[in-house]
Amino acid sequence: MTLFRQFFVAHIKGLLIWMAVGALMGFALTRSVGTFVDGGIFEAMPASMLALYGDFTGMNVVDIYLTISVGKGTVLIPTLYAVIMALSIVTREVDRRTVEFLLALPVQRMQVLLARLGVLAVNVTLVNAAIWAVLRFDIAAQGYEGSWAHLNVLFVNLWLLCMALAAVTLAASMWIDDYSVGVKLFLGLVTLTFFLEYVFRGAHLSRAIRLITPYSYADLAMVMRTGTIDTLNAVVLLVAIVGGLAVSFWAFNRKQFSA
Amino acid sequence: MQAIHVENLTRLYRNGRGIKGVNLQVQQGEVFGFLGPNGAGKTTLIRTMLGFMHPQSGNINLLGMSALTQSRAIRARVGYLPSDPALYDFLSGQQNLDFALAVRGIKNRSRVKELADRLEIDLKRRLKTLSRGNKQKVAIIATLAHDPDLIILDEPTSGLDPLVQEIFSSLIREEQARGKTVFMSSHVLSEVESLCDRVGVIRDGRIVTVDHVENLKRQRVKYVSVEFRQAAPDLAKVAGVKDLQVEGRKVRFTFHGAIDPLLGELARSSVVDLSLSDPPLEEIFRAFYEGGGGGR
Repeated sequence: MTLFRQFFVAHIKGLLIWMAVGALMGFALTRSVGTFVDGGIFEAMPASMLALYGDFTGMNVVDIYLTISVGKGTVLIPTLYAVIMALSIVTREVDRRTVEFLLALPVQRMQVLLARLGVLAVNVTLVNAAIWAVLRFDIAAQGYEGSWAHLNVLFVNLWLLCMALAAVTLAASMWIDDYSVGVKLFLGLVTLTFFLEYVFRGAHLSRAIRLITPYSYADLAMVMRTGTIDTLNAVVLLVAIVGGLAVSFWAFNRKQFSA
Repeated sequence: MQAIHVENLTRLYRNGRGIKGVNLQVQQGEVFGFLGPNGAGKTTLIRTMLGFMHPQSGNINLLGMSALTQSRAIRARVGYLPSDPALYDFLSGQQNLDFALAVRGIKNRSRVKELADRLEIDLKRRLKTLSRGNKQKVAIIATLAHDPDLIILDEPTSGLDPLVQEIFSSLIREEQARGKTVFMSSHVLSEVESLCDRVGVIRDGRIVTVDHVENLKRQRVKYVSVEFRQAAPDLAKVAGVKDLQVEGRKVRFTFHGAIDPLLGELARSSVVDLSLSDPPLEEIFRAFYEGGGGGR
């Protein structure tokens, strides 16, 4: 618990910033919900253009707006945050050499990793929760009704996506000791795949090809339409989480902290 | 009882550097100096002892426990000061120390206050606002605050001003007087000379020699200066005489080994003045560092 508290304190400023950024971005989007819903913008959009964001067959306009707001907007905030948090677990400690201070204490490496993963999970949940709360309550406050239960499931899917990205990043970071290199590499990759997913949809590529981008494992339109997470997506994300963490624990236990 | 027992320890990097077949024993209550040039393997040995690196072969026992299987229990009783310590910059000195002590399960902060007073450091300030020397002071407190039985110091006085170095030296002497074992790597030889009982010298990953400081100084090299009444005899033929300089009736040279043959040779001539002095440790260890094996 001492380790968890220490690491949580270490990230509290960053957490508040990311929560604020996510909430503000959500708020900026919710303020325009009336324009889209009452203005008939979605109805006026060509079907092929709307298809870029997913399959919205039979969905109400507020749910479409929620799906697009999250899927092509706020989703970047928690996913980028998850990647940065994952890089801070080992790579930043090594880069700043505070890892020596930690490892000289009577703690097992597993404890260090578990405490940091606990903080990552809590913080990613809080950033997602901040965005969810703004979308959920500000849209409702403006008198619009969405499928709120489905929105909850959508955020569960997003949380799984964040954790999967974090687990894979953490595993890879075991071989990266330079924090700035890690940040540039992973933020670049995540941002690139975010836009690739968009491009792949526009190019009507098959789902098999789209699956190379992590964002394709959160089919938000389908979640908002059905209120369930696609089984294949859920399995892939869980495998990525478990596999990433297993590799991380294995590698961290064997990592050599040389001068 | 041995506080440190290292047996056939090997930890090599991909470039072939590291430590090779290191054997080392340090007795409880001893202050042991570990010397070597940069890249000789000092820090690698310390990091391997503390479990930061895993050895490729060999055994390490610290305080009677295996460093390979009981590392956590060992670290509870070890204080480690890295050569360039890094603590959490966004926390104050006190918060860093509170964290370390909380992890160690220690509630009493009286030792922290005592050490902070001795080292004259304000622990309320954030680390990022402190100078390198003051950060080093916080790290010294973190090393000693939990009253460790074994204190491992890697270049401990780098960054400290001479006054604080003196306080640090007295802290180490006090720890030794309380029966604590100190293992310190350094290349500040005067510091080793004043603090350590024994020293080990490492070169290219191998221990070259381990001996008492006094023995090394006494047995290895003497500076000799002689003034004869008549012309100086040919001392170059005497075993152990090196760097012979003759200036009329005065000769100066370094002498290695047993002194009897030299005294016998000098007794054949009429000597006006004779002076034998110990060279500074630097001179002795330079020979080891350069591969001369102590000049023998």
